[in-house]
Amino acid sequence: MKISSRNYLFSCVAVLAAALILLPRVLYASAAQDKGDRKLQFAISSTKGLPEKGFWKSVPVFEDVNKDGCLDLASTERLGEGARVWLGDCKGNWVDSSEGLKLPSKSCGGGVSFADVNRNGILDMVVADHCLGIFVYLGDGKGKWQEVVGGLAPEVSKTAPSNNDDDADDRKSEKFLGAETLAVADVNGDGFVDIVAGAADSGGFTVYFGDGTGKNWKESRGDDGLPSFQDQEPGDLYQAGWVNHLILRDVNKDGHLDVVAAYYYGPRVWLGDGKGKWKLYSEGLPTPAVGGIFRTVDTGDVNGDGLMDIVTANEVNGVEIYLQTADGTWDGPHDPLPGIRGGVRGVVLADLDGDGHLDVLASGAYEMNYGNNFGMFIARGNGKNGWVEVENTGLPRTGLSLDWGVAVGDVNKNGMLDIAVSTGGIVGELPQWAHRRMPADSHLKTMPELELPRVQVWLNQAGKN
Amino acid sequence: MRKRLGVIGFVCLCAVLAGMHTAWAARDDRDALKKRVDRYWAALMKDDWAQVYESLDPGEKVYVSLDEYVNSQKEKDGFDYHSYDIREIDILDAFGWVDVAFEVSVKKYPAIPAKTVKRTHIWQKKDGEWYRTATNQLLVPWTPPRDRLLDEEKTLKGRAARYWDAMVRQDHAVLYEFIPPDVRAGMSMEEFSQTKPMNIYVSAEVGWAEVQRANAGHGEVKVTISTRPNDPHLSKMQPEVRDVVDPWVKIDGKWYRVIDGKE
Repeated sequence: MKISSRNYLFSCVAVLAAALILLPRVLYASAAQDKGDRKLQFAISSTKGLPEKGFWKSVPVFEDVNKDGCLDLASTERLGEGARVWLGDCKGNWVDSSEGLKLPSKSCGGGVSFADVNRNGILDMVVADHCLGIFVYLGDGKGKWQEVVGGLAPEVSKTAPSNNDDDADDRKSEKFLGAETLAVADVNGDGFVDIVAGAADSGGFTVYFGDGTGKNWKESRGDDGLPSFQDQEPGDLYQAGWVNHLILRDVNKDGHLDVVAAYYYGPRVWLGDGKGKWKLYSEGLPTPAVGGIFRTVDTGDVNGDGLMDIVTANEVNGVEIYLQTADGTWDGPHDPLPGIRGGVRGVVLADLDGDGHLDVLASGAYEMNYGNNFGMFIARGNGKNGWVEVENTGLPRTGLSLDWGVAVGDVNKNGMLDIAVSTGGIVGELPQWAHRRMPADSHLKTMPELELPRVQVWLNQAGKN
Repeated sequence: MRKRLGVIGFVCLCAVLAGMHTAWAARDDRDALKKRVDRYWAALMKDDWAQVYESLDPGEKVYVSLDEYVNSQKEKDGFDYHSYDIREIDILDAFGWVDVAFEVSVKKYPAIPAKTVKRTHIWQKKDGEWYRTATNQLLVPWTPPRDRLLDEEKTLKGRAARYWDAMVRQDHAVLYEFIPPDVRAGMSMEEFSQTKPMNIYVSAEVGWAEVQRANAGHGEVKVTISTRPNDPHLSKMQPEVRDVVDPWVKIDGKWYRVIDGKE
């Protein structure tokens, strides 16, 4: 077949036109691949140095403790010796650095936080223990610790009577002794680091004002606006109850830190005035029929309106997002991971795929099941409160022991956020009678635990794609 | 005329045969139950715990294996059963009531003479076989049919089915009708509609109803319900399935559900 010059010219023009139409699309797709559509893939970091056993009942914390430019990791244990710190080498390897952190008796888990409490330019560590109260350790900047305060607890723990008839007389004060969670920062504007602690059982919140030495902590008065033994609602059986998790963030952008908490009533916010006083800011946040189902909280602007929103881990329903509205109320819940049926315990907001929008990372149980049924899940955000669950992330969807929380940080300095998760606990087994009763095709079983450390770090491979 | 008589005769014959079939089936059922009861008592008298276990309700066997049951019975200082006498068997639907008198003594105290005890044991027919109901006795109708008002039970069961259907649909208007008049007098329909129930009823299946002849103004209805908390933050919670026995009361010829002990 002979092609005429006219037809040839027409073909060239057609090809050129097609190229002009398609090229921008290809370039856009490529850019999108680099950004939002980048494949999210995680791989376990070196497991050496991280604990193989134990109940790491604490939200893990990333911090560069020894100022070597590499993130270090901390968590605290139930039925163990207390908090532990592992120094990172920016390559995903870990070395235990916990000398001086051993508690006087078995630890019960709780929370950890870092700050320079004695203003010597070196990070110190503050630990909340569910049974024993708060411990303050001064750091030496090289990974060793010296306890300067042990068993810090609210005054009420020494004096308060119980309103619960079930409590034996000799146990009356114990319910106020433990601390489940804490956050440290200067909340009264005096330039010294303070501690905001959440009760393990009863007593709500206690604020301890620091004096810059790390050794002296003055308990705030009960009328500071946060619920406490002195400031409890009438008829509150738990005398202000317990706090599963709390963080300090400037929620209303007034320059003062606010308390955001997974309180036993539900997720709650109290606005700080920068002078150590607080005001409830929780209209629209829920009070479910069952207390204590919200395990952890985080904040971030998920819909791009410039207002800080809340994400919280509901142990029954999964992730719940509450959007802050211009009139100061909260709109929700919005569920970014509706496929989750077994509830979540850990949650953070972070831009995991590097597209400039916050994503949701949650740890919990995707399906109802028995045993080591916990895993980690990601919903990719579009910056407009729109979410798509990411599948095949490389993170375990099941096979983890009971999880207590997640944290993110760039461990290997590749520009992408990596993940830490604390796990370990007593997990329920499928009862023998249920074996006999359930149909042969039932998916219910006792899930085995993956051979991984109980505190794990998962490295984000997205930067490598 | 002869043809018509033939048809009538055939119809009558069919009716008689059907009646005989029902009677034979009932007799077969009774015979089958009696055989099971005999086997059960023979096993009890021989301490043949494996055979006793075989007679137990499959729903109960789920919670204890044969070995567990046999071992637990062997470890007990239980009773010696010396004789038994089946006095009466009554059957209605899938339930059988067996009046039995038995002679029993305590193993641990052989010097104490045996006593004759009279009991009514309830058996249930499942998948064509009779089983002894031992532990879930609250969930079966305790009274034999001869002491019950069966027509009244039919009416009550119909009312209960309507009530639970409305409960699942959260149809307040219908539910309001089932509140006893004296309670309703203190609560308007509007007030009732505004009450938020603690639970959502995902499903409800009405089982048996019981109205005792000696207590004709009161009844009980067994219902299998599937519930979860009425809270949007607990909406993914797996519904809990459980059997309940609901009290009902008859007022001015109509059955009402008893609410919180009030009639």
